[in-house]
Amino acid sequence: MKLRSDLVLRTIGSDHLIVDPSQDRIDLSTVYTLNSSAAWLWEQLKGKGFTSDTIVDLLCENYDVDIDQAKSDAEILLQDFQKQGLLEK
Amino acid sequence: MPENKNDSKARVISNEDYFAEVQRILNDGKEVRIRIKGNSMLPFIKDGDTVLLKAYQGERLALGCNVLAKDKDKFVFHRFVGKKNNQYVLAGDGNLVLREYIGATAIIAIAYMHYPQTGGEAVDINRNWARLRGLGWYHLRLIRRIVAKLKR
Repeated sequence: MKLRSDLVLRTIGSDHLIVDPSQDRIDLSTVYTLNSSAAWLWEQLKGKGFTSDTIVDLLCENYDVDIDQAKSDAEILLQDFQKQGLLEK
Repeated sequence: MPENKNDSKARVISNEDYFAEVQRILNDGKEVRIRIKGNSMLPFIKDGDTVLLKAYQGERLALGCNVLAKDKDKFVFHRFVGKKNNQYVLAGDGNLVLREYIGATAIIAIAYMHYPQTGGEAVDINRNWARLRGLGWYHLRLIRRIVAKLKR
């Protein structure tokens, strides 16, 4: 799977927002925010094909989490990305 | 990790940061849709409704239009109701007394469309009728104040 290439991550103050800058009309009435670790993952995954295991590896290599926790976090993240339409179809 | 603004865990982004982003997008020549917070534009615009903004570029403002402006350190979305001493006078439809007096440079954007949260039809709030209706409502402030006092 891949992240939608038309979306960009904008950091506003301490918040990370996903916006679609390609449109002439930008909807900031419902914004999708990521916390700092999810925002970091977004940057790592941007433009690449990846699987759930890619996220697990990234989490285990860079955060102090055990593999079960990383798998659970990756699953939640992917479900949410899917639900919010942030992945390419 | 991810946080959806639609759910009950919605986080609050500081107004300063949020509107800096709104302004940045407007400066790129794009339109921005934002959500209105509070009841200062009742009865026409309710808390949670959204409006579509276009950057203000110094054009002549039509009386009764809805603008996003910065009043001192505060962002307001209110109606332009007149000019006094070369300043623009803004007023919230839901307010009975308060007005803001601002310079032209404080005006950030003009609202063109209003999308009720209830899913009702989108309204062109910059058309003559909508502006006149809002202006009429503003000029009824004295009567509205009396009615509000009698209701207490």
